Amino acid sequence: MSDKKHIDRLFQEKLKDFEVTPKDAVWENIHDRIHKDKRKRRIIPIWWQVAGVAALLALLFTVGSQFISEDTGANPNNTIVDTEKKSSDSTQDDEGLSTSTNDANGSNNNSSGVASESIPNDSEHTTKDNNEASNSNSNKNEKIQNYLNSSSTNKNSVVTNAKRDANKKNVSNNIADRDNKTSQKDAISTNKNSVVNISEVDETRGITTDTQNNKEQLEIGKLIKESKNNTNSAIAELNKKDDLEVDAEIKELSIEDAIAEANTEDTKDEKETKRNRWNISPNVAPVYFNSLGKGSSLDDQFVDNTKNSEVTISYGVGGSYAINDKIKVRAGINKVNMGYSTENVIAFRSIDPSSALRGQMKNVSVNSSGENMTYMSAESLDSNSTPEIINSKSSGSINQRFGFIEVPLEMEYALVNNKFGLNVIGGFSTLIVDENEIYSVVDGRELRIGEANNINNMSYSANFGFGINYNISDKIKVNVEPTFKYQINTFSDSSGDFQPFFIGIYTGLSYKF
Amino acid sequence: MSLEQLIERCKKNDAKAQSQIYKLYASKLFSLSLKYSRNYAEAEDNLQDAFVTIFKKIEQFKGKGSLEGWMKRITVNTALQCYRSVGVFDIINEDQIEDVNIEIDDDSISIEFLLQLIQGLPDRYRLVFNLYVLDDYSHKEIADMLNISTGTSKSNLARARMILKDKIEQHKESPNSQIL
Repeated sequence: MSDKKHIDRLFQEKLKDFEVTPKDAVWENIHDRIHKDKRKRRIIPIWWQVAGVAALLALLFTVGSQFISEDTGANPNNTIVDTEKKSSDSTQDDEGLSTSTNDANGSNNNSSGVASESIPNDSEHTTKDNNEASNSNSNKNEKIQNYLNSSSTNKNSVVTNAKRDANKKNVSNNIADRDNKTSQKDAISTNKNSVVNISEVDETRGITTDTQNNKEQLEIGKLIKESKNNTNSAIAELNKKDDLEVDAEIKELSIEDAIAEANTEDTKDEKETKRNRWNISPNVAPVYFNSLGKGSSLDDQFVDNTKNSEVTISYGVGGSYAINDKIKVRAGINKVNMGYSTENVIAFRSIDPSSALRGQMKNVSVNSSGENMTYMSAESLDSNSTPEIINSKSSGSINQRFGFIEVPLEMEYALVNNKFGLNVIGGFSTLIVDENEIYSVVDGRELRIGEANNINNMSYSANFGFGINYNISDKIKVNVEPTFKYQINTFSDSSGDFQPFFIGIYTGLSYKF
Repeated sequence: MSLEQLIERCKKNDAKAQSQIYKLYASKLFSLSLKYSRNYAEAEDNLQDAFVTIFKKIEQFKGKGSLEGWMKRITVNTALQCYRSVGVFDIINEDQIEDVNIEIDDDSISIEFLLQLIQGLPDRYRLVFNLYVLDDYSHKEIADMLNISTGTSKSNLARARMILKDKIEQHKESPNSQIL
């Protein structure tokens, strides 16, 4: 007689060690399905790398150009401005020169009260200057040489400055050597000075036309030598050889000395005339989040439910670099919060917390306060077939909130660029998740029930917007930029046709520097 | 390699580790799928879905409880979800029947036959019978999972037992006849 058993035990015992190995095809399918995701993921790092390189370049460019501009101050536009300034200076010099030459040529007709006095004084004054400075001259000369090698532009303007200085000295000089007031001496020193002046003018011309350092240096050297020789011959006649030789030599140094002194001032001048390419703009925006298609980021059953966006805030700071008048490259960093609610949801509380099956919502990891709850879409229920207890429940909503650190990289093209500006903006952002929360709202009470498990740590958005700006001053602008951002790869798994996007109206001030 | 190491590598989406985890647990989870499904093909689909979910969500496995238990829950849940969407749980109104002690002779009944019996049960009877008898869930838990009352759960179980007993006895009388 076979033993009688309760049917439960029969099944339990028989099926206890029941195992069936599935076909190999099952694993292949699983592998393929996980692999498909992998392929998707592989595209992203490339994009990310490109974005990273671009961002890095932008950063290097920013930092680097600050240093470079301090070193050389070289900027094609600036050179032009300086040359103009210089040429006007040199014309002034020419004028001054011609008068003094005329004076000299006029064989001391006027005896050139001013010129004859001031000119010898000048040479003496410079002698004095140079004697004072002679200790440091060797160092300075080295510096000057380096400097000359490094930048022709600066040298040009510096020479101008040196001349300016010399003029100043002429005027302000009050140390007069009364002993040298013979007309002969006057004439000779006038000659000497005019020679020097001519050489200066020539220098300026040479420099203006020549762009190569070496040539300039050669020419300067040649001219200075010339002037020295001339002076020397004149001096020889007057038997004042020794003193004046020193003078002339020292003169050469004094120019370079003045160059060195003028350097600092000059770079400042150049900077002021430089165009402001950089822009920094803090901004804040109300953000509206929604989906283009009908879908849900939470679960299949909520695809058809009404979704309402919360209006949230984004804030941050951006910088831009103007490539030319029309095009700007922009980057920045923003904090952006988003949120939306899924309406018409019914919530049940399960009494037994050990209930092993969770996850009524496939994309939600519930916390301790959410784990006993079951959420259902009221729209999926048929009121005829559902029990009264369910139908009588008032429906609530599930609010999903998430926040990102957004790093935009965009181009801006100016359509109108007057006091009012209008531009189009396009680019993309990298979004890094820093907030992820899901709340249930039932009967007006909000309860945090967990977080979404389908939000990718890093995602992207394609951005398109319009910018309107108003120039308050040369430096400061007010911007309003309504921007549409279509999110890519935000959710690893969503239901229906969920295509998230957000719209922000970015408002801020931008400051040029 | 230890199981912990395998899990860690699975979290990094390592295909080799995933394959090893699959090999370790596939047959256990497939038998589970077979019990909860109507037939072999459906069980295969369920197993696939379950494993994809397992590997996608393995980061959430924090080592509380056994990996096997966690994977089994996902497999069962996957099966239930499938029926949830087709509205199996909407049958609400039916007469509740008393549970009676059903005993049966245990001889020459094959596992395959028992499995066929389970698969042949109406969907909800099968789910309730599996959950309660084979996977040790309480009526309360079942009621929560299937959105039914505990009374309905008990009634469904009793009906499932009756059907199974009838089928077994029928089989004993004519062992060669096909079920159904």
